[in-house]
Amino acid sequence: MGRQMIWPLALALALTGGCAGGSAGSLTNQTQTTTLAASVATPAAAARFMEHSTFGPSSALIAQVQQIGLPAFLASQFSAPSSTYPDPPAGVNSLLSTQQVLFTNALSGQDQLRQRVALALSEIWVTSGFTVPPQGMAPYMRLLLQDAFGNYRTLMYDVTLSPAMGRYLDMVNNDKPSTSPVTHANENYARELLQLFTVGLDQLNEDGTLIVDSGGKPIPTYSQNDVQAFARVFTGWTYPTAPGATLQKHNPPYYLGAMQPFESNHDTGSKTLLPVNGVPTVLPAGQSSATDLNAALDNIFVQPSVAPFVSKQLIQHLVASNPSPAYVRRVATVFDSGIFTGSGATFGSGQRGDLQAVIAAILLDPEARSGDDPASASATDGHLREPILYIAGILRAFGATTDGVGPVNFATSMSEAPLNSPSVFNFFPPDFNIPGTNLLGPEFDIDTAALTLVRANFVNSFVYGSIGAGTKVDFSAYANLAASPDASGQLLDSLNALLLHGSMSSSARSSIVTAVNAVPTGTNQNLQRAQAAIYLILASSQYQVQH
Amino acid sequence: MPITRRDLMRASCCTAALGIATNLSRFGLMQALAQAPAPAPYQALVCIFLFGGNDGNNVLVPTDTVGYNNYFTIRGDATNGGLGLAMSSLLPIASKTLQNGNNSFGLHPNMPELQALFTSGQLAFVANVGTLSKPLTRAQYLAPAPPVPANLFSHADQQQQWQTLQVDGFYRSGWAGRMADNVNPAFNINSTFPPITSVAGSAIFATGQTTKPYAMIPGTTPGLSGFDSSAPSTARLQALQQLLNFDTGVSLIQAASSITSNSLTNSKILSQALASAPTLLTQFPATGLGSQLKQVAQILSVRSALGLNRQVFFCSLGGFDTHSAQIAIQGPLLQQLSQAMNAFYSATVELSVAQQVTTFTMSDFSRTFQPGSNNGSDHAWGSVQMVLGGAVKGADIYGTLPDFKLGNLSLSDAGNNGRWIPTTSIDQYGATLAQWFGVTAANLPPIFPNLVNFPTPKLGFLG
Repeated sequence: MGRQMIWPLALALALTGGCAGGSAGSLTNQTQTTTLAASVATPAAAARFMEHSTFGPSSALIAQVQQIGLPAFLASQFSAPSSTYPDPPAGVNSLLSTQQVLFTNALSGQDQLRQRVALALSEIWVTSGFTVPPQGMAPYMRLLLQDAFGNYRTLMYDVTLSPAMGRYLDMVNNDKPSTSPVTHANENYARELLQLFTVGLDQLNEDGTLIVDSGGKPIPTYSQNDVQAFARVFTGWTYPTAPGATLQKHNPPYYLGAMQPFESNHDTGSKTLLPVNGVPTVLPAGQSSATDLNAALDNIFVQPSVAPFVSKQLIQHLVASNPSPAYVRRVATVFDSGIFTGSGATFGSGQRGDLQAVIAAILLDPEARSGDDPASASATDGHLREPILYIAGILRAFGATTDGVGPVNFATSMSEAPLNSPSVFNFFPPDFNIPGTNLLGPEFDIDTAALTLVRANFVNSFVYGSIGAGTKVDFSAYANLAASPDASGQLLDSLNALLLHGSMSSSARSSIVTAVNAVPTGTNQNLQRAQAAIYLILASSQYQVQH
Repeated sequence: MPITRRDLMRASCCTAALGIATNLSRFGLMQALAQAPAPAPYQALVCIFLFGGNDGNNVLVPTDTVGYNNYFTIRGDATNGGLGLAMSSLLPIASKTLQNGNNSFGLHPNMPELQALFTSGQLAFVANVGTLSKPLTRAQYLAPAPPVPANLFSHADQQQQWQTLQVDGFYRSGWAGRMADNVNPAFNINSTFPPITSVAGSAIFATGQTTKPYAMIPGTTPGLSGFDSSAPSTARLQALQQLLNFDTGVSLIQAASSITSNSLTNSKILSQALASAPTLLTQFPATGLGSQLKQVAQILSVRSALGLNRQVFFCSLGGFDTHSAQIAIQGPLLQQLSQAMNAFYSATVELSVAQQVTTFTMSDFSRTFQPGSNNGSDHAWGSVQMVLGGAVKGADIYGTLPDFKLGNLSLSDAGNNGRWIPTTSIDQYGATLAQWFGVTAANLPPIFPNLVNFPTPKLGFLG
């Protein structure tokens, strides 16, 4: 495929079968085949694993993962204590302080993987500051952090009863049908729970491809009648009762804790839900709000489409926009079994929907790891870094400090205002087809002609100016590298390892060197030489597309 | 008209850009532009997509006694848990032709500007338009395996079907993109600038086989920051462009580079053209849609510099997914729509292109005629759309309104809650716009794939 790779180490180990092992020596040109188990990783493998599992590699993190290996890093992340989102004081209307936390956590939190998964979940189970106040968004993000390493069925239950989702998709105060005027139960949460959060529109094979009928047409997972039945299931719930208050049919907005049932507002008629193994599921009349709700969530959770539907989207968020069906199938199978074994490690409880097993299966899959060796990189690998990951990755790579304000502002200008999606369909949909190609590229939906220049101009501000008073970065170490006689060599080696896991092509390197050398050497010029290289790499598609 | 310092700066800036003698005043410059070789008559279509599914039932309300009583009984009192607007609040209009024997209607109270434009003849309504592959009755809909578009009532799918007319659930190109593919050779041969500009983000509507849209952020000057004419800067820009051109072997990298490369080229063309934009006298409302339509008007004002004779614009207004608190949410949105459309029409008059610019609405779907709980409504189907412009045969309602009855009492309802089965297809709606735009009848089928299944390809609201 004509992909030229420059990498100083001769890689002796082919990374096959999900093995995460690699070259034993990181700084020599050793060529001996190592027999070490999956306990060490090459710098490239370590850096690239950080691109998948964190908000971006730093030199220190790369060194750590090289030392302990990929599975051990995963295990340490699964047990790392969670970051949090402080509750905004009552009366605060601006989302900004909560948005800032997303970036300050991403830059300094030790629970990098938990945060990455929570971000992905927040873009599947979308709520938004457009209608939910910050007092609702902060606990919602805590919920996603808490459930990121739990079970998917638990997540379904917790989100369904979260007041933020209740407010966003109108399950809160969803009254049983009235007679004057005649009304019907609110369909909003019922529809999107099915369409976006669990089973999707059309029935899926375990590998994520569509099941088709004899005429080649997709088979809908649910009907409009099903939506209306689920809508009736989700009647009768109101906001949590605030301390000291009494439960009412419509509690006033309160966002701490779970929504509560007001039983006389629940539609107690019988409801016909999705068939299971071809057998219709009927909830009998007269059940309580909670009994109906749990039965309905069980009815959805056992549908076979859930595993491929959820697995593929998590792969797209963490690793690649166009996973092969075989990759999706391997992960979906782990979703169903609840346990992953590979790379000499085992993750998961054995319960269907175990997210630790699913995440390990995604990150340690041979397809995810094949690009760790540039020689076996795939042409369809990778995904465009969404603005939040783009900005956070850049700041982390250069050890920037931030109060989060500048990153929030720039992410907003790139059409990804954190925690403030324009609709429940997220900032970009998982099935976005890149115009003129047959490839999916969800994040490309917000990489228009206008926004691609906003990205480049963000890099310009970050490298040459400022992205805001609360964000500071020091490029002097790179200026020092640019000062040596072999300036461009050392500078580019370092940036290549940090930003591109060593995948920079020789032609790209040559172009960048020419631009660096167009700045004369000298005490005052070294920073500018470094800046030229940093700007070019960060603005390039090679960096913007994590691959 | 007072000449401000800003105007003078723009004038001098654009003279530099166009290489015209620098002693021209602003008025002199405009004359110079006006004397450029006369192109074929310019025409533009402006789409306003109302994201979320606008409740058409409260946009246009029958106000004859029987029709209104039926409406208010089913919708209920908006001040008491329902969605029905008070008769006294509706803005009266009279359509030239009858619907269900009636020509007396009321517009939503927040649309006085559109009421005036309807009455003066520039605005028309098209009734009960929606996604359809072929004409469909309620009986056919309720029979097993009805021939209905895929994934009815799903936002994402219905938005895409409105834009692509591909009702099988696989969305490959937009009808504006295909329309531009078709008219480009005849009308836009002298320009390399994309024929479709979105001021509202990406939209498959604008992607054709060869047509790729340009997208811009309203009110900004597109371009790359941080470069000057110094040697290091020049070298860095050259390196950036080289990086965009290298084949890395990774498809997504190529895709991203292609977007950036095209943007650099087209942003330069547009920013140079916009440097000569006159200051519009028309005041636009300071709203999201107001800013978008103001940007479109500014591009219209430099149309000769861009060299395009056929152009399509994509704008949008979101927030119409009124599952709850509909009365409080939809009113301000319709106000924003009415004010922005009115300002835009005024700007086309100011620019002397009112006859040459047609603005039209699209939306995911309408909403249930029967209220849902939480004072809202749910996803439905056929809806009323608006067409505005000097070429529009206005003060009329085209197509056929639904019967506004529920369930078995209705011939219009898909189900029991007032989800109107469309009686006019988007293919017909779009083909009427396309024929005005310059697409010949013979070229309609590839652009409007379902059109052959409908009796008329021209609805009559344009010449």
